[in-house]
Amino acid sequence: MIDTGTVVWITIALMFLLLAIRVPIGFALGITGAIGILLVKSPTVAVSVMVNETFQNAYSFTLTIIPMFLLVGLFAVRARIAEYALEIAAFFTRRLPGGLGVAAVIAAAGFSAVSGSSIAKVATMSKLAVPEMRRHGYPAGLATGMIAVAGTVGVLIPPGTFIIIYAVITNTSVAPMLVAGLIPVAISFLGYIIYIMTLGARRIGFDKLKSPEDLAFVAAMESVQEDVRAKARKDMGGDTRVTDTGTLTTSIGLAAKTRSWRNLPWHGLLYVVIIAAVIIGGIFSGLFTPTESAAFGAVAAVIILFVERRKLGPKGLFLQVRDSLLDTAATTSMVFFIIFGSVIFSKFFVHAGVTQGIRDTVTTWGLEPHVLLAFLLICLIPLGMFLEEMSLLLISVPIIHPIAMGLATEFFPNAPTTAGAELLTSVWIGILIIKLMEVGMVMPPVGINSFVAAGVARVRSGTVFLGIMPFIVVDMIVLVILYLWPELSLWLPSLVSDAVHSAMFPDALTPPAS
Amino acid sequence: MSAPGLRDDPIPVIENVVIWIAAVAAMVATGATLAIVVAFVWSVVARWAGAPFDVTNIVSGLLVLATFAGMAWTTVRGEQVSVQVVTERLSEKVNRSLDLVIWSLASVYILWLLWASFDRAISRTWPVPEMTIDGVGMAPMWPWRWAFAISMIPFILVVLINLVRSIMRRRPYDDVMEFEELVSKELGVEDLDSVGEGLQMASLAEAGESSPVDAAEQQNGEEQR
Repeated sequence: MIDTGTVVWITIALMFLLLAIRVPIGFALGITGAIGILLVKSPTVAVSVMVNETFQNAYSFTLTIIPMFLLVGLFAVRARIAEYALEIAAFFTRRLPGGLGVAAVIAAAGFSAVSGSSIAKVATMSKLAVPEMRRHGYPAGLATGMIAVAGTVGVLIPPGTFIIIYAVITNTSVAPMLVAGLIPVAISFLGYIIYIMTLGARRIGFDKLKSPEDLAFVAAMESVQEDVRAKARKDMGGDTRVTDTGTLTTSIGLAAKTRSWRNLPWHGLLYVVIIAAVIIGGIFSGLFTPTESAAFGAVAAVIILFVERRKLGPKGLFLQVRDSLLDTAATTSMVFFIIFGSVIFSKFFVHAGVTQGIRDTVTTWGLEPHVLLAFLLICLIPLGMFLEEMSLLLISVPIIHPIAMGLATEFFPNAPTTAGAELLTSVWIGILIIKLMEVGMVMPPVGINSFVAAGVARVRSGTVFLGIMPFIVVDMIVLVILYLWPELSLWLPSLVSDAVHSAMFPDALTPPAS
Repeated sequence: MSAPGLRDDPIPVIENVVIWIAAVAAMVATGATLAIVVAFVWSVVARWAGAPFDVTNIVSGLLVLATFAGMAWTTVRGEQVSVQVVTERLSEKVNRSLDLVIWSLASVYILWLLWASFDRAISRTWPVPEMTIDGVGMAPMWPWRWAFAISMIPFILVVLINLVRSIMRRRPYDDVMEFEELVSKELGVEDLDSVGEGLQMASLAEAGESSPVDAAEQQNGEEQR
């Protein structure tokens, strides 16, 4: 009979082996988790965990928010909101040092408020902004690096899905988690902008399309764009702004030629405000629950899509909606399949006593609580370099979260109750963990966003990986700030949650949230 | 016959039938997603109108359908995420051998899950149907157990097709996305020729041909003027 410790090591090794040989992540986690449970318990327990955990996580009212947020993002992409955001930002930042880069980051921030998919954000912003930046002398690494990193930041806020998954697996209230990321996201974008305007701007202009590869890329992109525009003119009687391929119009170029702010596509900004107001405003005002706000966000997004693309006609609009729904269904299944696998794997950890074992081990080290938590969080960085972010989230949270909960009263000694301290700790470390997931999304060797930026912009992935490094330093500074001042992540949640408010401000007479 | 919207190479009729089943299941999943939106809007409007209506059970059940009915189509589209940092450095021959390992494991796992899901659906339906408590009282849960089990059938069919393709040394559906298809999808261009021409220009320039470079320089000069 093999002892439990050996089974744990064999199972972990098997999981990494399966991941390495390209087994889809959901299968790799589910198979190894089931085998592990089978070995430490019995086949009956393994079958029970597989079926029950898979079904219970699909039959989840809270997780309905995931397809709703995906739908919001896919409708928003087809309504060309990113393009408009970029055009407006480019006009107002055109005289700033590194203005184009700043515009791209601001547009990514605006787009983050309506799209939950970081890959969609990176792909869209790469094809809109990178060719123009390259033409203006931005080094390939800087141009693609800033897009790859800026595209990840939105996972901290609605309609990002990581935050929901974290809330569900830690039994943390969803509403405070949804707003907790707003200030950290703002700080992150501010950090990127400061870097681009200061140190980054010094690198601009010395790399003005020297290599044949760069020139060829711009020529190839323009060739594709011209074909698209020609097809659009042919199809739509000269109006290039109403085609399925309209996102290829050069927004920044248009903005550069626009002399007056009156000519800017302000309705694009209005779309962002409407969707953000429905989702965030609905939660803050108490009009909707978080899941309802996501559904209403999808309704708002589809109405915007209908208004924006009305010239496509009923058939064209039907195709847009059908494709959005099909993409949502496919992505929902993909995300959930990874969740199912991860839950089975984490159940194996529970049955094998791994979580308890790690907790007992780190407790014996006698480290100061803040140092211990910092150590555990830092461990996520190398793990994030090799594990896909969703898997990392679902594997690491069941280990780190209980340890942090055990130390909650040390982190928040002023909280009136242990439950209050645990709630504050859960929200706070949730933001820190997901911020670290973001870093993993661009770090080599499996940083998917960097590969997307490289693929769409046709540069080497190594160039993108070098380009992201200054932004990773900015992210690390932001992480330290968020770690040292938890209030930055907890103040907004205190406005929407009585429980968070009373835990944060025990002396306050009346909480503001209802 | 060819797989709908995926690739042009001829495939056996049985394979095409499975892909169409996956496509129909995907439409069911999209219908369920749409129904979730409608259910939420309906419940909020009913609440504002003073006649609250609880949709917890139906929305949760629809999520079961939206999740599992879409699995087959997700696999056909090659959207099951995997880590390729190691295998992309291996030869085509080794990768095709790995396909056999991957889809053998996946087949066993999904067949196990399928059997267990039907077993659980039967035991939760007879002799006592499984119920759950929501805002309006007891609601049936057992139909969603069946939705889960039945939705797994298209998934296992696609997984088995991938296994057969791997045995026959053909690329499975997790690996069919060609680069030009990917680029065209990213750029939103339906006409693959235009993408191909653009990429061809890039490769020509990398090889030292001058025309695209000249075109870009000419445009650059015009902009500066």
